[in-house]
Amino acid sequence: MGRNILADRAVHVIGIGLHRYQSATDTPFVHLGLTAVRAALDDAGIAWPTVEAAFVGSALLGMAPGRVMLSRLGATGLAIQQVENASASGSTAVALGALEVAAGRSDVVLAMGVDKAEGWRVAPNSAGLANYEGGTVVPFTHFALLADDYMGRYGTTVEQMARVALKNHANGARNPFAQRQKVRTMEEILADPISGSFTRLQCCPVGEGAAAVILASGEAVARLGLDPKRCPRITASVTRSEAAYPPGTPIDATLTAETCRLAFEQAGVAPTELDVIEVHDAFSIEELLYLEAMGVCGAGEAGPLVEAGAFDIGGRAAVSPSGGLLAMGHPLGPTGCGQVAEVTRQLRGEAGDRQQPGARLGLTHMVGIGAVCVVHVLQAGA
Amino acid sequence: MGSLSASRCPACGRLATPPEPYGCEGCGAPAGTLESTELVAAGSVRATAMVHRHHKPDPATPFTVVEVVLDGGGPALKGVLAPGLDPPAIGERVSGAVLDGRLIWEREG
Repeated sequence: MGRNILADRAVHVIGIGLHRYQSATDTPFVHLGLTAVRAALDDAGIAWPTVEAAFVGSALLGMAPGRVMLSRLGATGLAIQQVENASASGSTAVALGALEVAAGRSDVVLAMGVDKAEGWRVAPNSAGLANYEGGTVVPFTHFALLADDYMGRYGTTVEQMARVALKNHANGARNPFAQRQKVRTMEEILADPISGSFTRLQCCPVGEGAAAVILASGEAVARLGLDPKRCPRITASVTRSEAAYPPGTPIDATLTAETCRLAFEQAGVAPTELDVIEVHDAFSIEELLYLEAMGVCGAGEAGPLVEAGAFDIGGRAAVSPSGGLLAMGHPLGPTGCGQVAEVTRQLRGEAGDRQQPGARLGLTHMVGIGAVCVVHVLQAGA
Repeated sequence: MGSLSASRCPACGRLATPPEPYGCEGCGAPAGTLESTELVAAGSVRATAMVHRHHKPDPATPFTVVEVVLDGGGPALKGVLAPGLDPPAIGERVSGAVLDGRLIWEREG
């Protein structure tokens, strides 16, 4: 491992902005993206020409969405790079933006995600690799199988797993940027089966939207006269991909465990210290699997804990206070940036009626097809 | 009981089925160095999921996907339960055969 450059040169989040996640419309991506970026600039209190480089995460827009969009803020000639990393595209834009600042090449950087759920092209499907599934195992069935295995192993109930969705829908109902903003009953959560134990409301909606975060060095925070309390610091940024684990290894949980372990090492914190966690809960079981893989709780403990309210806002750690992928939604490119925006809001104490009391330490976690995993740890500003 | 064509890496022992066409995920050995072998399509059920929504007419819903840990090692394999059967329990023995490129599982015996 190389040295931890985030420890050498501080990287702060100075501005956040979103366009609400929503079902597909004919709104051009440019409008979605500019809405988020303008909100982030306003939030930071800086002007667009201050931004020296931009990382634009999207998975479905195709070639070159960055400049045609960002030039409408004034074509300043800044560096623009497109980032595609499946569901983790936005998180990877943040990772590259943080690297740009930590390396000292730029002082103020935009990391954003914008996407529209159209024109799906998934490279692994055209990689020339055969399997025996014949198209019958789509992501919800992949995770339904994991859920069946997990519930059999630990005696976790269907209701405990559904409790993840109940909580996240309740959180999303308080988030004006969420695609799903409705408090649901357990009866509603358990209706409308999709695959295995999953129902419609235990699977994330994939729509459209945008999220933007502006990153800056410690020197820039001082030079621009920003309030350091509103500028949480990114203390870990880790990107990993699935390794050749021995047969029988739980692949999804192991990838998350490895990535998070490196992130905790980098940030010098323990998983049990986290106050706020935005997790890749595309399907309800994932929240349970990943909380255990992170070490927030022990194996098999997440189901009873979520049922007891430990991961509610106000619990031991608020998990997916934004509503998560299940309720805030998963428009691919924006999702990871939206997680960083939510954790920033929480660490500033500006999350209103979804505020986790006394939040000082947060984590964002995304997984992308392939598989890849991207994790950030954020510490409240001082 | 069907057999599945597979590849085994002489360098690291990693199994792949269908055979790996590019290079070993375990150690990077080129595909040309991998040995051809066969795996018996039999093992025990790791998990099942009854699928109620599918984006294509085939297979007709509901159908059940079964994930099986093979007796001969290698990756756990997912396939479809033969139509008309009740889903097997976790740990139950099943055997499979490939039909039109799709692995079909049924209870052993």
